Amino acid sequence: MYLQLTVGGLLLGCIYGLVAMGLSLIYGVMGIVNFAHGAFVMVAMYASFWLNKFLGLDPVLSSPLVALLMFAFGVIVYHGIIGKVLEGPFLARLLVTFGLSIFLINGAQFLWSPDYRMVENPVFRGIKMLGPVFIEVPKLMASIGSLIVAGLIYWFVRKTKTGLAIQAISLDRMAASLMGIDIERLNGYAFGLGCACAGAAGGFLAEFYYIFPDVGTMFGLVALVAVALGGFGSTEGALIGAILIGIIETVGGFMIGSEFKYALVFLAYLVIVIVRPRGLLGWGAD
Amino acid sequence: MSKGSKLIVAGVTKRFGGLLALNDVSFSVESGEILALIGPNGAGKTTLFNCLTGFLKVDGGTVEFNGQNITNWSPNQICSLGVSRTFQVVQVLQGMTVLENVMVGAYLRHPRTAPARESAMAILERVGMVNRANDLAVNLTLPEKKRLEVAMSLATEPKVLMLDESMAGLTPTEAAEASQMIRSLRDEGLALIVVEHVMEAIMPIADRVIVLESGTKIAEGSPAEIVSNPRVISAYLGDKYAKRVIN
Amino acid sequence: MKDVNRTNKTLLTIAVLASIIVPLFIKARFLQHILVMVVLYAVLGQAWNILGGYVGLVSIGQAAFFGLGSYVSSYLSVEYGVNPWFGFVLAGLITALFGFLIGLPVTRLRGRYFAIATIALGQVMKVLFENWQRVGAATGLMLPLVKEGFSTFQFHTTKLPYYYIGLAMLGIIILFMRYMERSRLGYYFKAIRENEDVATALGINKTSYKLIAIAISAGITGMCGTFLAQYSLYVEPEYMFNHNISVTIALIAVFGGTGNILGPILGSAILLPISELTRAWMGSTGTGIDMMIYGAFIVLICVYQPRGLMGVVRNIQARARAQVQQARRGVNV
Repeated sequence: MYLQLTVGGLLLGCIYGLVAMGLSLIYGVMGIVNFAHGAFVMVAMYASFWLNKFLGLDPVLSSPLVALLMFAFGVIVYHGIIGKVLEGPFLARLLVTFGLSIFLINGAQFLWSPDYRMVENPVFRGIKMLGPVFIEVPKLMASIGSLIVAGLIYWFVRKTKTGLAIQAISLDRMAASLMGIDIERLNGYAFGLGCACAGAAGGFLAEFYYIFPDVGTMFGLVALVAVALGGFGSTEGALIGAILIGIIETVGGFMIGSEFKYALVFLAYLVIVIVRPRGLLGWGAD
Repeated sequence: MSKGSKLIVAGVTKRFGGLLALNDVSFSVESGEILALIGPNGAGKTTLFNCLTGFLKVDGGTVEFNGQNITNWSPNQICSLGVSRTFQVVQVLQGMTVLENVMVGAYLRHPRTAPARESAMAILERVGMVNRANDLAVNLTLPEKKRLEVAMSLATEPKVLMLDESMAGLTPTEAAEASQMIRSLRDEGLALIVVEHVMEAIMPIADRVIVLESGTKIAEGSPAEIVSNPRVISAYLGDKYAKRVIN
Repeated sequence: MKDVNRTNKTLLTIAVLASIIVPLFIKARFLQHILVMVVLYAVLGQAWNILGGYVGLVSIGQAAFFGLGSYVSSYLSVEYGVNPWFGFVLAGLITALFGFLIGLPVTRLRGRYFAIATIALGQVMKVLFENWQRVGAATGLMLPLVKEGFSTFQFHTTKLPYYYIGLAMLGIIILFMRYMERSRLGYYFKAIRENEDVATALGINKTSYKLIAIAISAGITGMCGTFLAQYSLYVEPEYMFNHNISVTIALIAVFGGTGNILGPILGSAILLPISELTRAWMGSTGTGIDMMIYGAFIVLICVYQPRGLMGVVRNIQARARAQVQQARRGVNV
């Protein structure tokens, strides 16, 4: 039973991991804690839903397209809003994404009503036996997809020229700027990439999850906790933190009742961050 | 200020992972004495300050003040007891005025506002910053900030004052003023531990000097003894300076 | 300078008198409601300000204290018939104690780690109360309707008494903060905000002072919870522990400006009418457009007014001062 739960948690954790990675990337590069990340996941889920409804595209298969759309969305949001508060006081940097989140969630409610929706006829469905464990196929596909995207992002940031420039900004903004790196443009890319992570994750989630305006909030908060657990600024930490949370959520939720599972996740955050005030692999200033 | 205070450091050791930052460092300092602490960059001077004032936990050894073992006490307890310090990288309360900065220090001995303000003004007078009392600390120049930091420390009415490179970056005139100030504090009965790079400023006023290299105390003595100590010369001062002093 | 002081005093007197007298002439229940919300959130903003503006611990989970306070008095009232005024005081004490206990571990965190911990706290409290059968779980508690009057803390015919109770709370907290600003407590709070290392090097026990701040902030916020419970006569987790309460409180501080007494009052006086009016005009449609506007408003404030209204005032003052100085220099030359 616990093996079953752990595997379930692991799969969930991989999807959280992708969301958290986007969050961590944005934080690492520009020091913004993106509280609207969950709302971005929600927007992506609706995008998948409508692509499915009108073009018949399956969410998992259309997720690259959704990720691309979200990338563009992210770049626009950066240049329209985020870039303008980067030099502002701590509180403004903290609250701006709250406002964005409230705007997007209620915008979705305004446009598409608070009703729950589901993608009809997803390509991946059903349950398979894998040894002694049952595995839900769409979840498996989503977590594999998440890992692939996470790997791609990792490769992009570590190996490509643009990625290295982004890393340079996260290490030392001033020096990067002196080296002739166009910080504004690359910040925009980084924010876009973070959104693309949320976008891909949203696409995968749309395959098997209900879609409603508030759906992203919990994903966003959980991802945030994952990033804090891993330590702000550490991409690998975010992934590890997310998987840990996936397991805590499913195993712990089973043990003390699923209504308390998120309470448990937050308690885990409080406990871990109090023991290690900068997270598991964290560095950098407050 | 009370006479007869004594800070005794015995065998203090500090490790950062595998690096031995302080190795069995022992010395003492008492009222009416200026102890200069010198050594090349990375010798462990600031680490030693941090260990003595509770900002770092020591891995071995003891720190004793007036017969009381204060090893690994919290920084605020140590300050309350009368051991105060400044920081190498100047640290002031940027968003508060100069007077407010000093008042925060003065509140330690004067819990009520009016006496705290009086005491703070007296100290500002002493360090020559009264004219800047109502300016925000963030608007001060670097030497002014350093002076403010000393004023804040003094406001806590310490018995031992530890200055971490308070004269770095000062013009010769300013440095001379600072030396004068340090001397007068000594004459009032304070014990001073002074970390300094500006040899010309510190050597003439120091009563005693200890030299750290790679976390180990390699020499202790009067300034004249130190500058003629061959080990110190090779480790730190360089032949040129030694010749100049001896000549 | 004397003239400035005199003008300030006159303005203050006018403002105080106006806040007492003008509402007497407001008969529309909805306008009275807005007034009540303005004073309530001004008090909440001040409570936040003590912790976030002075000590520098930014909380986005004040709803945890607010909700707890509302439940303490309501539960006592519903189960044991305890007088709400007694519950009001008790709510303050219990939430202050709760804040203190939570603070023991949480005040060790800095910056955003603290902020996220408070968010987590708010969510955990909400989930716990949603599943706590004894206090009505998700449906919450209904307060029994009793004869209106000051002693029962219930008023049905007019909302004005609530306004005056809130105004009294605001007055008391302002007096407290004026005292605090001029005492060691306030100086120490600010020192911790500015630089924790310097503060400890000057002999300040930062942990104690942070705990004092969070306990005061939590206690006042809890009493505000009781106030809203008595105002709306029911409590439920979704209402009292709502995350938007936490965000709104922090936003008031941003908008008004932090670390001074006037900021939260200004913030609340401008923000709450806007939010209540949009809700009244468009909220009933249930389409979420009111909150959409609210969200856009937050973004606009953060982008275009990030230092708050007090920041604007201060800029103007600084410019004026510079001009005066320049003029003086001109004379000297």
